[in-house]
Amino acid sequence: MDGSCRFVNFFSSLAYRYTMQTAANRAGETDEELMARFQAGDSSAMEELFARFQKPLFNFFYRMVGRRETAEDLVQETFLKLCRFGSSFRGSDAKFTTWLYSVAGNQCRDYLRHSARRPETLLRDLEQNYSDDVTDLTPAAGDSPVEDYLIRMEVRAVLETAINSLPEKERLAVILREYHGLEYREIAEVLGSPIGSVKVLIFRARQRLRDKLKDLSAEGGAL
Amino acid sequence: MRCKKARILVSASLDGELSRREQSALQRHLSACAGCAEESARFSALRDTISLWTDEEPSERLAESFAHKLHQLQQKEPAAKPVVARWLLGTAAAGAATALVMVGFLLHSLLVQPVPLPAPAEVVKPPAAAGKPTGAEKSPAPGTISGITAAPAVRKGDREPTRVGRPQPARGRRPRPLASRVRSADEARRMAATEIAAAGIAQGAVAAHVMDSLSGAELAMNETVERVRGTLQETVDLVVSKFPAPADNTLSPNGGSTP
Repeated sequence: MDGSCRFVNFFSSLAYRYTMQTAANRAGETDEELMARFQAGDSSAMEELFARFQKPLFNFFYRMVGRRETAEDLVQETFLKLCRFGSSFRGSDAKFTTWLYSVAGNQCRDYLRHSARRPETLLRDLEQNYSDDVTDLTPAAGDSPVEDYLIRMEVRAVLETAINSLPEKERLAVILREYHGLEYREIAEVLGSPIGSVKVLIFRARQRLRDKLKDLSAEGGAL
Repeated sequence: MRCKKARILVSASLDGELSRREQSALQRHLSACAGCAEESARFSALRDTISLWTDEEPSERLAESFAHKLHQLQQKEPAAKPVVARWLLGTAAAGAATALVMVGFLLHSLLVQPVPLPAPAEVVKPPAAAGKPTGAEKSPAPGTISGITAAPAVRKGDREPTRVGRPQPARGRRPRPLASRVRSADEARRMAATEIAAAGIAQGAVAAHVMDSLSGAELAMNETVERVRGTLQETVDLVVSKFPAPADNTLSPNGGSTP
């Protein structure tokens, strides 16, 4: 009886330790380590990477193409590409995020080329999102004044229009810098351009944005 | 520093991408140039405006949909098999290809007649036989050119070459006719058919063996996984029955139950 109890205790402690260690390892694992695990045949590592990056990648595509459904499709397509061509990633040579945004950038350019159009600020999308948010921000739901909120939304809509009006390469560079915090060196890798060009691209994008925002605010009188 | 360059540096400076030297040069320029200083302030304000476009949440079904597609992809292109399977299939394919080449070679050597050469247009005497011509040189066989190479003339009593089927132009002797090797065309066809059938059977056997090995390995793996899962389940059941969970399912940091 004692022997079986000891046996059970041993196994239960072993199982507990294993479970805890696995969870801790997953949380502490770098993106490159997860990718190495996927390359070794563990598909759960890719699901973990998806969980980590689905939101930033979705927002990247949403800002680039301006449509929620398309952005979600592109997120999935990008990750499926990573699965197919995962063996080409070398963690020692590049950061996972740089590689991810390179694949995403190509995916985005392909989409924009094939659809042969600029991203649009889709009023349907905006109206839907804003109306949802407005219902959440009724006086009973929050303490922020509705008027402030509407002004913020208007500014955001103007900003969205301004960013979407940028040339593709400038838009890509400025989005990666402003919303995803990539360094110039990483953006240069994603775009396949020298760092000096990236510096100029971002500068021009900011100049255009500033002018565009000035024009739009003059037209709408919102800013 | 010119204003054009300074404004590019202003933008890069906001992102912390300037070297110490560039930064100090820019500071010197900004302190002297009111236009560029104003531009710097405008760029800072622009960054605040840009940050108003906050992140949005993707729909909840996105992760689920991706997991489903990933599963489908793995079923289509299983990740565990390719290394072994590719090696085995590659070996089998190489074996089959070698067998086919050998059959082709055999058929060629059995069935193809030596190509009749044109009538001797130019006969070159071999240097070794320049002094005393042999009989073969006197009357070269029709369809061959004797003395093309410096091969010694065949003497009486020499053993006949055993390898047949290809034209032997320099031997001074006509290749053995097909009839002396294979009694009839039917026999040649029969032999070829036998060889082809043997190669086909071998190929089929190799492929069947490869597929058996793969499916056997997969079955064994599945059985092992099931067995391990069963054992774990039993262990968990045993643990649960031995140590029932506390009513509120919370543990204090020192291991005891919290109220």
